[in-house]
Amino acid sequence: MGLSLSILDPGMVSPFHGRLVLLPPMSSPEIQPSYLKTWLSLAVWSVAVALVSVQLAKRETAPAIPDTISARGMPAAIESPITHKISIPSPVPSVHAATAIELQDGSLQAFWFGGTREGAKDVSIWGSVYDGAKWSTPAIVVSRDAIAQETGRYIRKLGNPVAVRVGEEVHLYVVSVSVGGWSGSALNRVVLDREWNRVGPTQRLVGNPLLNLGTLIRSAPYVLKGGDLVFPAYHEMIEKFPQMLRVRHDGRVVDRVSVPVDADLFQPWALVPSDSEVTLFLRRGAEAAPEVHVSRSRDGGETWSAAEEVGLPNPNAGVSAVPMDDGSILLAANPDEGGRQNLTLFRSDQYTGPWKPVFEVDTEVREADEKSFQAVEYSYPWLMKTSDGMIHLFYTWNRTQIRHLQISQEALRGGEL
Amino acid sequence: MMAQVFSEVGHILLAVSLFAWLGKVFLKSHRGAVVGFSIGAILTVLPLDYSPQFYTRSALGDLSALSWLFLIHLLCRSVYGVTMISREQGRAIAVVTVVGGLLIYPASLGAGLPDLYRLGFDSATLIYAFAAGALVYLLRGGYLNALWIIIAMLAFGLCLLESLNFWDCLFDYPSFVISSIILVRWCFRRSGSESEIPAR
Repeated sequence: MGLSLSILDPGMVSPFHGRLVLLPPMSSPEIQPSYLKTWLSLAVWSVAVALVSVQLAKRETAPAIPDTISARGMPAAIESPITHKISIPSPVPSVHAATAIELQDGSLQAFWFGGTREGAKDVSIWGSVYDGAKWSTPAIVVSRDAIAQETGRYIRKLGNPVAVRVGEEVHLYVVSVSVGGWSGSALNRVVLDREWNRVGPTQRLVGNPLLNLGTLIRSAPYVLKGGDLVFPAYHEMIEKFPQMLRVRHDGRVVDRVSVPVDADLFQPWALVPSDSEVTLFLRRGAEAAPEVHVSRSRDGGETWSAAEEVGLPNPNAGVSAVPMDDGSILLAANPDEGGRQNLTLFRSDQYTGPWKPVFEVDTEVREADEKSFQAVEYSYPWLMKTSDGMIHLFYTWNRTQIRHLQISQEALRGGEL
Repeated sequence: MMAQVFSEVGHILLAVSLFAWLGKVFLKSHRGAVVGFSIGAILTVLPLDYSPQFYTRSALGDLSALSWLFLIHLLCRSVYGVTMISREQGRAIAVVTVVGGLLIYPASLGAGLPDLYRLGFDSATLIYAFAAGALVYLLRGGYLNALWIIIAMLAFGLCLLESLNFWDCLFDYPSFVISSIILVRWCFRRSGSESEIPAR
């Protein structure tokens, strides 16, 4: 006795025969619908068509043209490329996957996930504010229980956050898992004011028809001229591949484009050099050909080139990039094939390289303790450029701290390791 | 807000339908179904930290128009002993759902296949084609099949689901699985009845 049997068991008398309007079976031609039934049905159908037409018309308004990243004024020349190097103090043992935004007054806010370990139930999204001199004591911005309550769902664990500033609001997009591992991920949007009070309901994003599983993000979105955001997202169920998700102002997915590259290229980081070009830097997950790859679109993200290697090794680690004011590109990556123990900044005039190493970000633990070399990890870089032209790098330091480097473009341009 | 309410009500319907069906299966009577329905209803409205819909919503997401129809049918069948969806109607719906599911689900697991799911976001051609199908069903008296598509159109037009994709309004993965079972059973039943015809 199964569900399907119950659904199709024939020979029973429908409660709708001759009494309710809409549901006589097709197999009973002797029961003819009355004119009233027909007209009522047609009226409902017309209303549905009208509503669908209005909804479709609304969606035609915004073309998929990215807002070009504009050139900004140059800062004064500084001798060392690093003007600040700060560890954000962490009240929990394990932290990872930092994201950051610049507010309208020039202050910075950083967010990351932290708890006893990655994937633990006590992992929350933490945040801290940088006033130009120091970072505030980190505080929990979004907890697992809060997202569970606000979305009405069981949440097993939280993952990567990505912060976006929209006017005075902070929109925090957070990966969560209800079932299984990271391949069971889905996205949520939490809207906060600048003091991190909730503004409006938490929204669940739907990026996949298959139980909405397997969609993750880790990198900054770009903005379309109509105001929609495009997230360089990635899919992680059965196969890993990048997927561009277009998200409307209310946090709903209104389009998606799967980027047709080889399997195991994921965690895309997008740069937008012009209003029709988008370039993705991709992490390589497979053991074969462990190099950073790049895929490019010349039609605003509609179609994508085959992925090319850029000549930088990639030990299955996330990368980040930012355009410099002189047109060159700054890329943060782990260039050692053996692991994430070396995080280096590279510079190139071309997206496909050649890449010149300009600054080795962190070597303290390597020099101090060669025996624990493999355990050392500087990873998940998040590069951003602020309105004063400074470059900011956030990264995971040994999973115990989030570090922040403030870097002068002028000094970087002259440097080469 | 409307999407939240619609989703919550859908999962309450799922809970009470399944409890009613279980009540009928285990107690082998419609009275059992009523008992199951009552238990389900109480569990869904009690101010518990972990209600049934809390878990089903995390696993299944929003329910589509087809899942709503299947659940209402299951509830009517269990509690009142009446059938809302005839075999022919169920089969017609199942064919559309299985074909649609086979077109969109495999492509969602890899980047190499044409992504027909994307059409559901804003393809007027796709959605008006379904609207025309609903009209044809209406004019031919196939009210249930038309109702399915019309509910999906209303859900799409009024943004009643968290997803703004028409495919998600039309059917979801659980209803795709049930539709597949319906078709497989029909194929087996058909082959079984054909084999019973004596040879001349």
